[in-house]
Amino acid sequence: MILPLLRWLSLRHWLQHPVRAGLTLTGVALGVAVTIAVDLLAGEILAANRRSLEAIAGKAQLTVTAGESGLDRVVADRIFGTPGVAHVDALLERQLIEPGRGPILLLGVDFLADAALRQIEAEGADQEVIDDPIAFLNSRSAAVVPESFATRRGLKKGDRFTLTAADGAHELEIRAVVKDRGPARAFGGDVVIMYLDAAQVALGMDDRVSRVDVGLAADAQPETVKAALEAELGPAFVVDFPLRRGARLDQMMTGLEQALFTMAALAIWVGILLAYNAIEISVRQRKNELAILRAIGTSRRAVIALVLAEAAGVGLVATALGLGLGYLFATYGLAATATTVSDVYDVVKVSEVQLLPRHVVTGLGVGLLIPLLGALRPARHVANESPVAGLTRGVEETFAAGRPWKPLVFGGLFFVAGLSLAWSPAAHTNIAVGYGAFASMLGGSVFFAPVIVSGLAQVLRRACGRRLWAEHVVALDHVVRDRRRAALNVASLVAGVATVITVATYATSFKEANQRWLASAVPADVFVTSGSKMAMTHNTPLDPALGQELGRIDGVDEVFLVRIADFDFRGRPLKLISTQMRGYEARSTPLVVEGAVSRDGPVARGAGVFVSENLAGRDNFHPGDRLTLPTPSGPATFEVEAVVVDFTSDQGVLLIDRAPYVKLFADPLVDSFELFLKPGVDPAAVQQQIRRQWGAKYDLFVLTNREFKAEAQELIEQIFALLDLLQLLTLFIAVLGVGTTLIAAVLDRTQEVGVMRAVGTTPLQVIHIVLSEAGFIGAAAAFFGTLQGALCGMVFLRTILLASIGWRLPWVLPESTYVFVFLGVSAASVVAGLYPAWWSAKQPTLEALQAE
Amino acid sequence: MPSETGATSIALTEVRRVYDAGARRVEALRGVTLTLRAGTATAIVGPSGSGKSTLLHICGALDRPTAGEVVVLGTNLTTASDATLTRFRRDHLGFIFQFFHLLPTLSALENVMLPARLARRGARAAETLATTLLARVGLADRVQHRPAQLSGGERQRVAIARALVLDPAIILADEPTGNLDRATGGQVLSLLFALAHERQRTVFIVTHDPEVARLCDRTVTLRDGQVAL
Repeated sequence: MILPLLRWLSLRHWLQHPVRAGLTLTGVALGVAVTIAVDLLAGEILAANRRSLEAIAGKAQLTVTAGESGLDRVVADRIFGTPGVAHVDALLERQLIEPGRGPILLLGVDFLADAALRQIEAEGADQEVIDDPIAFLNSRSAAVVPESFATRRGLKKGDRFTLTAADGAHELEIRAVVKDRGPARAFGGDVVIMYLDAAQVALGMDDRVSRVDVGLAADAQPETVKAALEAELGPAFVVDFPLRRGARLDQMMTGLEQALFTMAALAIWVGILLAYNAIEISVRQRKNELAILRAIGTSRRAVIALVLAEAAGVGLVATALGLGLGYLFATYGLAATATTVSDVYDVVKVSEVQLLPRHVVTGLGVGLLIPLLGALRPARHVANESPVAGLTRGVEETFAAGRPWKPLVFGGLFFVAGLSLAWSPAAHTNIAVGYGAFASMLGGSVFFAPVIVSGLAQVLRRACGRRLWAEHVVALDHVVRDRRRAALNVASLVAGVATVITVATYATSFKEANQRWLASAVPADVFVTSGSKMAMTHNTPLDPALGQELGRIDGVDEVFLVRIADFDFRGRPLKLISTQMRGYEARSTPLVVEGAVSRDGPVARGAGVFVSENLAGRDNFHPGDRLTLPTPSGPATFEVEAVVVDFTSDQGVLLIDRAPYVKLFADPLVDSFELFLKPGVDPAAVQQQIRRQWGAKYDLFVLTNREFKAEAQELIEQIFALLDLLQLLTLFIAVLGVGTTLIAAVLDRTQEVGVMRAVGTTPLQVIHIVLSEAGFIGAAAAFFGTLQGALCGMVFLRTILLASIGWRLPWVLPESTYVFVFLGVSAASVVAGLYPAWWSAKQPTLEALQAE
Repeated sequence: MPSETGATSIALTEVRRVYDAGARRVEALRGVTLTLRAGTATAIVGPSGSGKSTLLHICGALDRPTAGEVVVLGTNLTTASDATLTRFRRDHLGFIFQFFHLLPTLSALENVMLPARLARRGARAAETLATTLLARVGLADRVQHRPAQLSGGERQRVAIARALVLDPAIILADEPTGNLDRATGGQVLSLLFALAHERQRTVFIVTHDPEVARLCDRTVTLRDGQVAL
């Protein structure tokens, strides 16, 4: 029974209103697309990381590491002697820089080891080269590269290329081109393989390796062998499952993923509001048809089923569109996202996004959820109404029932609930409470934003009275009269604007806090790094000897050797920063949150640690506490001297003196040389001299203080750019809603426009009326959304951000975004009103007058 | 364009109007020739489908003839552009509809002011004019009421005031009493004629009601799209 009704009533109705149908489909499809795109992007980035780890690990079941400085190769013998271990394979793994191209993974592989764990495959003469390690043994420059590596660069066997390492540039020669299999697949194929001994010599690693991979005997239990190895090797070594390292990036990306999925959820939410509105309008316009159906014996259930089936149909079409759009968004956004993740968290080499069955299921879930949720209330409403009422009552009477105080009360309750949650102590530690507060406040706006917008129209109308043009009076009256119809669009616009302002508040507050921190805690005049402008993820650590040479430059007062090492602590991937703390404390002013910094304090003496505010909050560290760090030299205990602000990592930062770091971690490398100049010395002159003298050799990036800060700001903007894109899509969906509402509105007002045209209103004046209405809705929603966004921004900072990352940021309002959003949303709403305005104006006066 | 009493305000010559209704052609007007003079009230009567409303729409610059010539207040509407027709309606014509067609969100005063404000008349002047007209139609104490708060007769009086606000030379009324009871309809018509005579305006009424026709200066009967002799 439903199918014929769908064909006769629903399909025909939607086909008769192609523009509105198109807008609704686009809105729902965009909701699906955003969700799928975020899922595809996050999935591919994590999958690329996993692929790389799998490729390097091969068949290894356990891996042994000992921090960034690596471990002595002889440890492999101890590992091999442990019960349950069948194979061991030492590996050297270093991220170097290929000048002009970026990070490259250098693998030092022992070709003499048995091939049980990993195998490098080539054909013909190339395989012979690999099988004959003598060809490599005496060469510090012999390398093999994957086919894809050679193809991308137009290189062949015998060609030479350059990589930058800690001690400067190294020229390597391609001795063989191997298949893109096994370890050659790692790092997206941007991998160079050397014989382990040669790599050690080339990189000055003595007999140290990065890791030892372990293959187990057939009957061995991995957990048992892991425990045995931990007991055998002691706490200086980390024994883990190879792929567990993939969880590191997963963990680091949690914040970004949460933010992206929150944006996607908002896009879905706005899509639901749009679908609800479109379906309500569609049902309302067929109120009489549906009442006739009920009058001739169609059951309530059948009417509900009809409306829901119609919604499901919209959902199916939108899902198909959304999956395609989502795939396109993800394909085009992959490179930018991977760059951001690589710059901030860890270097990933992505290939391409893959649409899997689970994405289709997710898309269907979202695509059906949006319109079905949107259709529920209109379906129940029309089904529960008596056929007589449906046939006789006016359109406005049917749906415009309700008093404005009700939404105000409901909205107020939601808002108060949101604020109460935000100010509850749990909001600082429990992210769910923060999300609850945020959602309550946005939910509140669904109720009272439309009332406030229509109230604003009334106030404006009364306050300006005679000063308004007649077109504006009529437009404002339409806003007041259509409060219920426009309610959800106003609400979704407000939610969209509020979200944009919230994220902008976060970005502005973060930038401000970051600038304050850099100005006081990182005040060097010149920063020197290799391979990357910032010592973050893809710079190459340098030899400390360069520091002495830099110190001899005329005008340089003091050089600080800063190492920013990845450090796993209590299951979290932190940053362990070390430098000459006594001198550094004299030069800088750490932003102390708790405790006090003294030049003769524990940190300066090499016995203390500064803990970043977010780590201290999470793990409850306070000055005076004693902190034991696992190091390759065994556990080392430090006294917490102070809790300080540090934005180097959202996972947390520990700062110690360089001397104990080098000793405990056997790691003398330097990520960044920070130079303080004598008074009156021009940083640009020093910068030029460093570039001239060492720039090419070490692939150096030399930044002045101002350039360094600008770079830091750019990095922040890069992170927020992804969110900005999703926000714009959300706003776009909301603006589509304005178009949908206005199309329905002008359709309902056809006769009214006819009368106005009959009494002399020109087509331009009709257009003016509709566009004024659209512009007012946009401007009022933007105004209210901006106010709400400012408040939501504060709630976000003190709840979600604090609970998830632990940063306490000042509440800084993004004034320029206010202006941009206000003008942008108002203008976009006017654009959304163009078609309805044009349609309304072009209706022949006589036909409009006679319209029913 | 002011017209003097007795001058020709509407002149129709061999006006034909043909509608294409799918495969069927409907001849609503078949060669109507008619002249209406200023300062008179003319009723067009005839059975349903005789072409009364079509004639009113053509005279009211809402529709164009398929053939023939329509000259209203000296302006040839037959070939005029849409923009010209709009301006012509605004400046010279006043409409009164059977179902009043007042804007529901505007007060009685604002409804009457609307054409003047759309014509960019000053707010104060428009308000004074509208208030005066509403007082003239007996609604001085109802100016701030919305249409939903007015009776049918009151609504039609507001519509009459709106039709007169720009002081048009011609008032076109389509069944102005069709939705009112006899007594109220009589009052409304009396008011309309009084105002028209007072201002020397041409009134052109389409009606089914012989009583309405009887009150007019002249009655034209249409039958099958032609003026019945």
